[in-house]
Formats: sequence, structure tokens, C-alpha cells
Amino acid sequence: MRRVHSYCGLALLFFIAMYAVSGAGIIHSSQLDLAPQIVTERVTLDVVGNPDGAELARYLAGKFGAHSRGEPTAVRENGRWIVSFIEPGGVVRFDVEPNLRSASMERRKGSLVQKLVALHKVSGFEGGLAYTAWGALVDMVSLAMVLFTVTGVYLWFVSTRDRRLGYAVLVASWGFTLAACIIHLAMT
Amino acid sequence: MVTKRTMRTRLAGWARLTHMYGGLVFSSYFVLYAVTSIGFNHRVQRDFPYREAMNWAQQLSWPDAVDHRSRAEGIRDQLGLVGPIMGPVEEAAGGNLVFQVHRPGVRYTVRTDRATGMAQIHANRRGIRSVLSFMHGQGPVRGSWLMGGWWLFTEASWVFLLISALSGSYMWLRRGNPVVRWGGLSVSGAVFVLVFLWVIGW
Repeated sequence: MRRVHSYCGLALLFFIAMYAVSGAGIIHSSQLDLAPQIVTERVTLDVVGNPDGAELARYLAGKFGAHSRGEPTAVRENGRWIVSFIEPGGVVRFDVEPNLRSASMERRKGSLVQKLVALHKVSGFEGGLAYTAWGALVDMVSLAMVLFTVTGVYLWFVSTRDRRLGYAVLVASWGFTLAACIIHLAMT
Repeated sequence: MVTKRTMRTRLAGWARLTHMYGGLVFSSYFVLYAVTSIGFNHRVQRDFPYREAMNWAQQLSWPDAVDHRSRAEGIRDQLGLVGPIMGPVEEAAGGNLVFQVHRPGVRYTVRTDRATGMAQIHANRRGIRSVLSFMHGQGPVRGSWLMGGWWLFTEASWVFLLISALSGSYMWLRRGNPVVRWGGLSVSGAVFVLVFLWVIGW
């Protein structure tokens, strides 16, 4: 049991620490400056032919290194193409001229804290292999929290003779959480 | 005289006690965190069905404030509603305000009517999933000892998670072959950094 607790903790140590830090960032988001840094520049393009939205998005991604969770969106507005690449904590938006010769590129880049906060909120498995892996990690970290609790309580139980303090702490913890749930439900 | 070895033994003892009893204190929060995280990840909690709706009107005196959000907070307090104001505070015709107050399990929509000095309140009651989601990471809330207490518990839980990670690492490094122990920790850190950079696209 100790090995399960230790090895599981070691494997997910940094992910759990990241969730703790980013969770604190979300709780204190009103005190933090989470507005992204916006940089707009004019870029020249050398598009060949008359591509559709998906082809143009692929070209822009290759030329400017833009990333997106899932497929980028490409919308036609008055002959112009608006192509957006959205990922956790960052957005790149291209406003492409109708002649496909130039575009306005707007990058909204978040700081490391903003990236962490955005990653904390990432859920689901869609958007490519990286996000599928991240979704699986979220599930693993969540299940690990249950595993840590169960194995931790077991390790406390078998390694302690006088368990009165532990029982009191456990009852207080679970009592408070259950009472909070029940009172909130009753108040609704 | 306290030797280095005695100091290390004492430190290890404190690390073990903090890790163990802190874990017991926050065990309920960690289970709640796990259940709600899996719910978020699998989009279980995205749509909270409205269980029941209620409407009522209350007298209101228009508060002096520098902006709409502060005014909305003043109105919320006058109406005796508890919870953070979520989303934008919209300005309707006649300088009236429309905003939402969220409390675990309830979402209030408040519409003011300056001409009559009244506020119309529409309350959407939601279920246990809404309550649990709110409790997953609740920020500071005024006017409710329960929500204030839960906020403190939440704050303490993330601090303890970090302490637990540190104390756990310390206990891990104290036992067995140091090369294997440091190696394991380094591999774990490297995997995290690689996955992190991969997902954020750097």
C-alpha cells in the first residue's frame, strides 16, 4: 500500500502541484492581471491559387507557427478571410485581405500564470493527441486523489496506535463537507 | 547538542505528521475535487437542468456607486442575496441594471426598476451537481459563514497540496538508493515539463 501511495504520488507530483498553483490563480483571478498581451502586425502572404478556409488555415499555421486546439476556424466576411487559432491561454487571429497578398495578424499571448490558469480549465479529449493525453492525465490525477485518500487513511490506520486525533480530524473533515453540501441543497 | 542527523530525523518526523494529518484534514475535499474534476472532464456538469424557478419583487433604494458592478453589489446586499456576481452587469433602458448572482445550487437574475424603486428577482434552482461544482473551487464570498468557511477550506487545501508534495518528496528522497530516488523525481519532473510544453504548444 505504501508503494502504491509513493509511486503514484511520484508519477503525478508535478501535475498535482500545477493544479494547486493554477487553482489558487483561479480563486484569486480578480487580484491578478490576467489580461493577455496583444500584439498586432501586418504580414505579407504568398498564397498560391484560391484556397478554401481549411487550406488557408493550414498555410497560415505552417508559415507563422500558429497552434489551435482542434481545427482552426475560418470564416468569410465581405470577401476577407478571418482565421482564428485558439489554444489554452492564447489566440492568433488573421484578417486576410481578399487578394490573399497580406493580412493583419493579432496575437493574444498569455503569461505563464495565464497559461496555467487556462490549462486548469481544459477539459475533454478532443482537439488532437496532446489534448487527449491531457484529458487522460486529468482523469488520472483525479483518480489518484481518491487513491491517495484511501491509501493514506489506510497507512494512517495501520501505523498509528492512538487513533483518537485521526478519527476526530476525519469526522470534522467529512462532517464539514457533507454539512456544506446538505445545507447548500436545503437552502435552494 | 543537536546534530545534523537529529535535525534530519526531526524534520522527517514533522514531514510525516504534516503529510499524514493534513491528508486526513483535506481527505473529504480531495474526494470532492476528484469527483467534480472527472465530471468537468467528461462534461457531466456542463448543463444544469433547471429544477424549479421562483420569481419575486423587493423594494430597493438606489445605491451610490462609481460603476455598475459596485452598484450591483450594493443591490445584491440590499436584497439579501449571497454569492458572487457572475458575467457582465448589463445596463437596460432607463439606467436600470440586469445581472446574475450565483450561489451553490441557485442562480438569481436581478432586474432593477428605478421608476418604481423595485427589483425583480428570478431564481433558478439547480441540483447537487451545481452545488458540487461550485464547491470545487470557490472564491471569497461575503455574507455567508458557510461559504466563507468553505472558501477558507479551499484556500487551505491548495496550500496543503503544495506542502504535501514537498513533504512527500522529502520522505521519498530519504529512503533507499539516492540515485534511484533522485532519478525517479527527475524523470517525473521531465515528463511533466514535456507534456506541459506539448499541450501549450511551445
